[in-house]
Amino acid sequence: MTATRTEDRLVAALQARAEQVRPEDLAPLVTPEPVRGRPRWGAYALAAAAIAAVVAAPFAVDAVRDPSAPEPGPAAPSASPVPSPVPSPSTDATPPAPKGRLHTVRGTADVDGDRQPDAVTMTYRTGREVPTFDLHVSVTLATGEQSTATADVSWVPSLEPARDIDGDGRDLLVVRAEGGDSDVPQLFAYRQGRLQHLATAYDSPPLTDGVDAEGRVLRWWFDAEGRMFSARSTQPLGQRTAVRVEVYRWTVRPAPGGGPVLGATRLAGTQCFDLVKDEAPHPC
Amino acid sequence: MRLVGTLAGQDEAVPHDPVALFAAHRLSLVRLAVLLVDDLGTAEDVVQDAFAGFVGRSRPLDDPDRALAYLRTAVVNNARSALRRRRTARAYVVPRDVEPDGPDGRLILAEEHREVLAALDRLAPRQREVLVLRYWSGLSEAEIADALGISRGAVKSTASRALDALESIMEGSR
Repeated sequence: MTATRTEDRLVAALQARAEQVRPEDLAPLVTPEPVRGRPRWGAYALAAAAIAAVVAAPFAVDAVRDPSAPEPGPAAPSASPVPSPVPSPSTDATPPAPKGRLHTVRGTADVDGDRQPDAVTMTYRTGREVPTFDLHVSVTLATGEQSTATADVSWVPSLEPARDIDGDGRDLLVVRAEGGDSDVPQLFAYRQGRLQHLATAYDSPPLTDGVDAEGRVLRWWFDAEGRMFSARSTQPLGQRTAVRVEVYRWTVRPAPGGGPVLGATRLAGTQCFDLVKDEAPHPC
Repeated sequence: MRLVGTLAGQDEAVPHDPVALFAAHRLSLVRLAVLLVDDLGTAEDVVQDAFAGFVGRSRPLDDPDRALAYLRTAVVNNARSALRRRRTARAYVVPRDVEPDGPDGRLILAEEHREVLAALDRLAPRQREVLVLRYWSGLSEAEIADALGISRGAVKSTASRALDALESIMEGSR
């Protein structure tokens, strides 16, 4: 079979499949309304962690409720005793009912290092009239204790396998929200008796997949042992696919304020990375 | 070789009003998404979420004419996330509406198309994205590079390898 023949078949098959979707097949058009002043997750990580404690109880009920029952939402930030990091789109003090389709993803991890599996639940909503996804991540320890944390993501989140990035037996929960300005992993750690959303330390390099403002390629990954790394090319990518990169190892460390954050330590030297051939950088 | 070019977009008149933009291009975006995720329900979610993200941007696009390109990138990224979630859920069975039972039978795909789509489904997500954007959306290498955030060289090599892989899979299935 020639390449041209394959291409022709591919074009025909894609067109046939696409044309199976007709205008009348689509759900009624729903246009989200814009919300101004959406906060960036990193800037509000500590406030989000504070809110987590407030919303924990109702969320825990939500996570284990009868799926056929009406969907209660988490407590609205405006009803909490702490300042809300989310600007309210209106002056109405009545919290709006949650809208959109609720998605629930469940898994297990050992977040507290007791070698017992802890139940993990991630929920988010799609089809809302606001551009965030109402992400909640909760954990129920083997002891029955529950804790919930939230994060602000503007792209559909996915729950990745948990990772013990420090090798101390305590898994971190990993959520991806790929795309746009939130193309960074969202990590949650059970520390100080509660689940906490981890911000990155102020002096750390970008933790994202993409290209920075100077054209340098950025990547992050886990190795087979669960350790987390990121890389930044030493030069702008240009038209090349193979670059040399600085490599950083990420760990959980205490922040000046006392809470945990993600911090990076640069490894010695540089490594080689071919964007097409390699899944991750390697020694040159 | 004929390219469909439904979403080439850059030369089309793109409405600047977000709602008009969405209404005008929703069908094409859903079709793009369904080629990446296989089922209509997920495709509609992917597009709706992409538009929600677009409307809620904290800063406007520098070039409003790039709105369609932005939405296309968002659809591809969201589709990739949806596929990743499927891999995470072990018991998940990919919904198949490739063969809807239309009242007049015109929606049933020919066997040769099903063979190609089955092979496409076995490619790596990035390879599939490049092929769909190239051979259905009709994008240039530069436009695909822009949409996926990779270099033109990477687009070229990925497309070449993907076509080879597609051909091998189809030959191996006989």
